[in-house]
Amino acid sequence: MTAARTIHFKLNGAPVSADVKPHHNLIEMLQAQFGLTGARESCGQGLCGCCTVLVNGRAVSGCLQLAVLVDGAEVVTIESLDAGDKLDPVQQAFIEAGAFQCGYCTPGFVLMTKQLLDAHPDPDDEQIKHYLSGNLCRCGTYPEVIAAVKLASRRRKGAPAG
Amino acid sequence: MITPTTSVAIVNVSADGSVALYCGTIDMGQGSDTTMAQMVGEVLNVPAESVRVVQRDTDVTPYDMGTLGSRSLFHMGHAVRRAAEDAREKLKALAREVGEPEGSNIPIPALFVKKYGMQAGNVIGTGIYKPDYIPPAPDTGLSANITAFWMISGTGAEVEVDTETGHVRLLKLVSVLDIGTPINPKIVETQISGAAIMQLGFTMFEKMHIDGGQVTNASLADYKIPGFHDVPLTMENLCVDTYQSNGPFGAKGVGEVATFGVSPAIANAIDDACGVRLTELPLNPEAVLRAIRAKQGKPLGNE
Repeated sequence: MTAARTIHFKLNGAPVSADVKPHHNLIEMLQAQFGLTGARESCGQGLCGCCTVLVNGRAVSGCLQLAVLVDGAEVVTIESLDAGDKLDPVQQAFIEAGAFQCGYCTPGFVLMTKQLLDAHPDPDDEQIKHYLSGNLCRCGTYPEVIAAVKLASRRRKGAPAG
Repeated sequence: MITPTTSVAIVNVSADGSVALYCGTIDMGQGSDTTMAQMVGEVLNVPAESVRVVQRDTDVTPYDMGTLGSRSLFHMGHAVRRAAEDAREKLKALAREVGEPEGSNIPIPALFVKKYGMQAGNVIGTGIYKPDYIPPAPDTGLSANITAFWMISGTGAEVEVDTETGHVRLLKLVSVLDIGTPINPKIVETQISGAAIMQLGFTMFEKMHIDGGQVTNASLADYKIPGFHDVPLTMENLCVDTYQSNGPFGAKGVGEVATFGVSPAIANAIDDACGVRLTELPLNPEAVLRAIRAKQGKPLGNE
């Protein structure tokens, strides 16, 4: 039963279809069929957060999500955030706070931060640590990430349309 | 630090005034592209952001010994500085050649137009750096000049030890470094903080278990690296105000300097808290609890 199956879903706002085999995970499909490499499979066990994508508005580990499961769903990846000529306030805040070194984990942190700020628009340190504890940064930029989240929170409050 | 090692850099000034830097240092997140571009900008008096740092490729970029040992800012920094200075002197010579008065601030594009009658030409500066070095004497192992610079830091730690479980909570970690004069203070701060946190992982829990040459904890589930909850509640990262007399623009390497003191500081803090001296890493709850129980005369068995 390894025949490919055609699924239809919304990817970064556009209706798309893909032929996926039952064992393909979401990251494999996004990379191989759509050339989207922002979400990376690192641990492959849902432990590091590098493969975070939004499915129906919820952050999921793309390495643990079977591609067939997004049939009919709405998938958003990091690539959609800087649509047009403007960065997302969270992306801008990460740059200004220096909240990364190598950048490998950054797409996951940015998407998770977006969800954090949707749930808690004005998070304190403990809320930030708790919410982002599923994202690992080998370069150890955690203090800078906290600063970036707070900066993004202030920006979002100041400019709700951004 | 490994020494002596060589770094080579090329600075290419094009007829439109744009500048490309060819250097073999790999920017893996430590920000070297930024700091190297800053140094070129400083010498040539152009904005750092206008300096394009060419992607490292042995087909294209000149020799560098390696991006390691906190050597790049010092060694490659000197090579980059010299390459930029070489280009600057050649631009000055070109200005003299086309009849510009001494100290002329003619824009670079205008200078090339004056020389060639059109926007054409390049000026290429090269720089090599290899530090002085005296190898250790075979009979004593001593040398009066063993390294181009020393990396100096101190770390203070405040911990809370749960004597029932051996769990150690890091309340405060203070790193103080001598890194010369920072080329980019923001990058330096992130480097110090990141290095301390990475060393904290090696200190507290990172341990490779090897069985017959195979790492048996080869995933992030079995090899824990620091996460958000492992970061000390308070972290302070400080630099003393110094100037490295033989460094490029008074600077020297930063990368690993904040790592040295972390393990001994935490081990000393644990000793101070509960009187056990651990001399082997990691200082995980099992090691701490075993030491506490041994001190109490109630040692734990091996199973």
